Amino acid sequence: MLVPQEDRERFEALVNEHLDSLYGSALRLTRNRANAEDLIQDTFLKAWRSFRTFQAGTNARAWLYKILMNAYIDSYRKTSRQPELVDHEDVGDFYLYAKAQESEEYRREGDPEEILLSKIMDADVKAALEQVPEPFRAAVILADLEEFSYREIAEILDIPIGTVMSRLYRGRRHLQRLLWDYAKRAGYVDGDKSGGQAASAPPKSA
Amino acid sequence: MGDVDCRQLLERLWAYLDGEADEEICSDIRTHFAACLPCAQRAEFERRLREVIQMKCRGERAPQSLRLELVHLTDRPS
Repeated sequence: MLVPQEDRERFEALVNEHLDSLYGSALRLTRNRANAEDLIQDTFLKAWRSFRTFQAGTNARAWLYKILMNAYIDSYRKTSRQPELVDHEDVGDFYLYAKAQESEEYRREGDPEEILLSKIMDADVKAALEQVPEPFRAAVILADLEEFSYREIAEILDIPIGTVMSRLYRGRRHLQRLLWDYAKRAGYVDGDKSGGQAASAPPKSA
Repeated sequence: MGDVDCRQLLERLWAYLDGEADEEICSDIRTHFAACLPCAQRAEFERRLREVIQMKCRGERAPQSLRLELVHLTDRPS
């Protein structure tokens, strides 16, 4: 069957507009380049197959992300059968801010929040994000990196909005704990360069 | 809702920062910030943290070979 030229052009425009952001999400989801490329190929193949049912003017980005997430969930469910992790902490838990405030060392150096943010800037944030367990990581990627609304994420993942919120908040909590560890490691490297008087230095005895 | 205390604020802070809180809650939260510096600072920290995370995690570029393969998908019937 002949494909109308107009369809090809519209699809190519879609690829060009959304590929980089979808690929970035696929990398953070699958955690490696080969799997990310496979996931993206799978996504766009499915998108092309159902392209005729896709209405121009609807949210193309959300439509593509829904296909991406379905393909991803299908493949990772096959390879990993971990039950959903449960934790029992409060939602209102802002771990990194509390850590910065508690840190004697950051207080001594000046503005604790500023110091922590600059350490995170030096840390491997991508690696930390990739350590956040599923299904929380997907929610964080969709909300914090791709800036979809709760409602859009609910549609993309086909879950209720309340579940979006709980996955997102729990994902952020995981991420903040991981970032604290990664930031400490980044601080350690800095400390070595500046002659050892740093994050890793033992407290001076009074 | 009226006055919010710190505990109530924290429960709603993510929704507020995500632009998902309704106007009444937003206005209560801003009133609280004006009276409570620690909460305002905490919110500001979370906002900046998100910016750092975005700066560090965005901006991936798909390989050119992948882009070409995808464009060739249209050689197949849709």
